[in-house]
Amino acid sequence: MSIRVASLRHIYHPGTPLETKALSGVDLTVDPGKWVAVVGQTGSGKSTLAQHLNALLLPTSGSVEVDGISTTAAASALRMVRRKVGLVFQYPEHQLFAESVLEEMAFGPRNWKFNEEDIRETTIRTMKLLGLPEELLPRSPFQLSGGQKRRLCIASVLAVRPDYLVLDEPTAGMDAPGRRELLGLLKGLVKERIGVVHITHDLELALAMAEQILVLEKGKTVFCGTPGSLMDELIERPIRGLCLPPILELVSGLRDYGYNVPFTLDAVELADRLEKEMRT
Amino acid sequence: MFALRGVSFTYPGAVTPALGGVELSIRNGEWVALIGANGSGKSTLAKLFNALLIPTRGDCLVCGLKTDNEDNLWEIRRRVSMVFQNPDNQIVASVVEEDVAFGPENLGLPSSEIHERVFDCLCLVGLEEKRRAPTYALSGGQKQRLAIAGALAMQPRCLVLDEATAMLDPQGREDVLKILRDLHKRGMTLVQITHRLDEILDATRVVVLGKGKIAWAGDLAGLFAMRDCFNEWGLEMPPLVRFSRKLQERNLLPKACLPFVKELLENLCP
Amino acid sequence: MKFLNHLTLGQYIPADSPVHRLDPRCKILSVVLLLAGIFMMKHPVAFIAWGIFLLFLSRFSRIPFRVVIQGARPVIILVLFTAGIHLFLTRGITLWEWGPLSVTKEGVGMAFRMGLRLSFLVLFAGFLTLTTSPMELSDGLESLFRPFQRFGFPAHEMAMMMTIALRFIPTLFDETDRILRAQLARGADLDHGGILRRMKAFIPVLVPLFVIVFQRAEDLAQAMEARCYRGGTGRSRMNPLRWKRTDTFAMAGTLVIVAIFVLMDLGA
Repeated sequence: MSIRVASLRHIYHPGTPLETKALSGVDLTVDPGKWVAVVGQTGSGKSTLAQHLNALLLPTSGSVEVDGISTTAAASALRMVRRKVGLVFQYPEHQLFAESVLEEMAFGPRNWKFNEEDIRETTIRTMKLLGLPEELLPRSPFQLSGGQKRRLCIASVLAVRPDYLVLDEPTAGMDAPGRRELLGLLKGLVKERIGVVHITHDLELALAMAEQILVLEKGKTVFCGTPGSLMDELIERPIRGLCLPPILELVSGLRDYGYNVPFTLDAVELADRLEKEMRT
Repeated sequence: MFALRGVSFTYPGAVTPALGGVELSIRNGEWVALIGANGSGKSTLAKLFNALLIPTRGDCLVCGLKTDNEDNLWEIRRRVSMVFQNPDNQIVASVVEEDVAFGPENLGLPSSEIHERVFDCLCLVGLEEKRRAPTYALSGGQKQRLAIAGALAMQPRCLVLDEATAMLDPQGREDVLKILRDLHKRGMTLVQITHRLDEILDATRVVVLGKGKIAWAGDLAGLFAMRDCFNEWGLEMPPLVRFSRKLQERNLLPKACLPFVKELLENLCP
Repeated sequence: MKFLNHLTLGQYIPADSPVHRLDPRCKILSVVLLLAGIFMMKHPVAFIAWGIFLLFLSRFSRIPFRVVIQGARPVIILVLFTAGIHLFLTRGITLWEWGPLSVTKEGVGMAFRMGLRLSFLVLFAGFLTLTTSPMELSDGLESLFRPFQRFGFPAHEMAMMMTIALRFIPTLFDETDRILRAQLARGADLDHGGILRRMKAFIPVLVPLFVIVFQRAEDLAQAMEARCYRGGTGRSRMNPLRWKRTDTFAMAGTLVIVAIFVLMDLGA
């Protein structure tokens, strides 16, 4: 049981002057309960990849399988895939439309023919998961604060109980407290055995959150592995399309000088280790 | 350049004021970073500088001109240009150079001067080769640079950037910051609104806003020496600041060292 | 699998051609003349003449003929529909009958004529938008309508509205595309059920679109104000319209061509 992407290629507008190769040969596996980050600059193909995971886009060649169901199979299978893989677009608050939070939450479940009792139960449960109080149910979604809107959108996708959640830049435009809160809540989803795919251009965030990182550049995989091995590799050689977070740049400089300090994003840990090094 | 005296602002229909009793003055050539959490009143303050909003109480003076006087609006907006958050929502024309020309055209300048300004400003932001390109085909970062060119074409004395990098990727953000550094060197007054502390490392002064009031003001070294206030302000301390503070506490790093990679390495690896 | 594609709309294609360099007013007036001429075309010879002229124009304006045709694609249904109506509803000598439907000899002629007329109308009009930037186009219209300003016609405002509308068409298409995808990802079913159900299914797309449009309009108004926009008075232009000798020639040339074509048609 997992999402399996194998030698995925995607070409936009094939055969026209606008032909662009968005993805050329990408492999990825997402297991339930794992946090996978896809990192890359604008135009690296990360959003294209995201849309393949729930069959909004279909491969030009290669395959995407969700729990054994191929996205290129029959239309009924395709709906099954969309149900299994929730996709939250960038700035999802731009898709709010309903008169009340309850209606907004019920949109997905109704599309998948949940019965009404089930809808209420799942709505309240998912809202709690994302830290939204039940009192909000009758309110208009447009009256919520920015952070609440964002969480409502994610909750509305989660309401159909998908096995995987794909998030495109979920913290874009949020300030530090909002971001911290949201990431904490999302981390909780992993404990609920949901596989999270986090699309971002923020390497530091990916390193801090993910168990596995895929780095894309111009549609090609330039790295795939654990955050630890990515840090090691980044110090060894620059990876195209990625710039070193300042703290790692510092670590690299300190090591060049001869201090034996670890590659870490944790400032306090780094300070402690450096202190020990300096005292000896 | 700017003088705000006891400025309050309440949006029509709102109960709580967005800004309350703000005292602030900004001199020519300064690079002021205005930081604060979402909803702290940063954007409201930005719009006061350009007379897009008029204080409900108090005075806002731009180059000695009061913004609540209709007759001054024109002069104020010529001197203070703005760049907004969403690049898509501030581009008027379908072709790059036509968009840059929009401001100067509003000023009624002669054609030859408009051409000159358009070319100069596009060069400044590195878009001269995209002169005839359709605006919708630009990337987010390019669009924002175009917006800056459009603002500069007014030949303002001050540029106010309202979260101008919030929607850009790291490369786009760096491109914009590079332009700002360049402008600052040429003597442009900059007011940069952001909630990312890693973007303000070039600012000559920092103003922290919280709940519509100025919570703190001072220089970068002073800001990074503040204790425990960051959470309260809704800001996140960059890791390097946390790191250098830890070392300063243990006297392993001079107090004056700023949390930049280069400075830190110079101090730690003599 | 892009759901919407704005590139099929007749959009400006920058190039350096004699047609591109003409004054937009000249192009607008010429197109009006051409369209009037096309409305009068009846005889097959005239169709061929107009067709050759179309090819010539494509060559002369350095717009590949393929692109010219592509621009007309969105109206194919309209053309077929019009042709169909004429095919079945024109009375005359019956050629073929099936139940209540009958095709007459006159019907076939009418269908061809109307279909071609409509296609030619769209194709010729397309040259205007293909070779004229939106800004030039609105400048041209503004200048042509300026005399009517005396009677309270808001020429500048109309032109500015047009500029902005053209600027935002691609953006809004992208936006709609994104909202569509987002709601599809939430399980929205947009292509099943009767008309009423389908219309209802589009509410989750339309409401967010309206919200965004209003937000954009507000932001844009503010951005324009910040750049000292205060209506048409006192505004200058980067490229002021200048009527050149070539424009007069082009205008005269169009007049002669249309006259010849019309006379040829009447004579044939």
